[in-house]
Amino acid sequence: MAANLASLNHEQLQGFGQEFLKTYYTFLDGPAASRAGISQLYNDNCQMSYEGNKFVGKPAIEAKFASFSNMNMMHDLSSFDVQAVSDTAVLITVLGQFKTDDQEHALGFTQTFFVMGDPEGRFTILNDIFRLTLFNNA
Amino acid sequence: METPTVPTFKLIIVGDGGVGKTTFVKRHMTGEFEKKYNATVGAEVHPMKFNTTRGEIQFNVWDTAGQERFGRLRDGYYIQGQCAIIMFDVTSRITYRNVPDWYRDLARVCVNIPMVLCGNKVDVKDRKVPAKLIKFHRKHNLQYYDLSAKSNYNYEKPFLWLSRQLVGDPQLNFMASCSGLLPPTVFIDKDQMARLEKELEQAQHISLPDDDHF
Repeated sequence: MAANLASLNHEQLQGFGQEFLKTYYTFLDGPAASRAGISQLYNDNCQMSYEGNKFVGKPAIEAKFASFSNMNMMHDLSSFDVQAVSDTAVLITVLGQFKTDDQEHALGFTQTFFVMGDPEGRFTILNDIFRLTLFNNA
Repeated sequence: METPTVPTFKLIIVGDGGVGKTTFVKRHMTGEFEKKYNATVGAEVHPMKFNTTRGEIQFNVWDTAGQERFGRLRDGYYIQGQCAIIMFDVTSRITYRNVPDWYRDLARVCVNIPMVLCGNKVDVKDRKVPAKLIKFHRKHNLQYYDLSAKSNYNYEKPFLWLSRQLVGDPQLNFMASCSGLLPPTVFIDKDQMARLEKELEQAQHISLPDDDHF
């Protein structure tokens, strides 16, 4: 996609977001082998906050996902929202649940991506913030 | 107004993912049958009752939904905890090395509650954390037990020790050996049991270095 995000209408932006999220969670879902190489979706200057722990740069992010080696994952998105920040950047938030094959219960999560396009029209994740939707009070 | 007749205590189980916490709580059949899942805090609560020489006692045992594999637990998981079990896996050194972190998170929210440290999977022949290396509990006044959830070995020990602490009676005993457990799926023979107990006994006499937190 060419870098003209600010001119897209709501449906087009949602469509852009949907494509991006499909690529992203296809990497995450399934066995460990599926997650190998996920850092190629991230920018060289990326950072990720994962449950309050910070990971900077592609190798750190790759290592974090590799640490989930022994589980099969499956994500189910309930909703997502997309806003253009500029011609070349979007903000995407996701609300969903994921399950691993070794646990009985699914866990809710929210995830926020700041996605930037380069001059060649290639989009990568600059910022990624992930939290489980677990609370202090029942 | 209905008043609870059975003294009931919130028991928090923590430890790294995969050490056997869920296997351990699931073995108590009534607890498993009556468990309730709380999705908001991500906890499965198993009510476990024991008959003691001082009457019935109930532990509401909190087990995570596996979120500890992704980050720290929320304070809400610990709040109002009255006793705790910190579990590690004797076949995995890293799970023992992480015990001080679990202790710190617990102690930050739950001040001065009785805690038991449990080394699970002692039925596995290839033990990586020998009794003589397990010292953390001695510096922090925790009780320690070897455990094998799959064989029911020492299953009731943590509950008995916590009951004595909470009731304040060191003579308290359980009326019958813990009934209502799933049958063992692995077995520890008498020789192995004796060896485990001897190693543990010897480990208690090793002096503690001053600057070592393990």
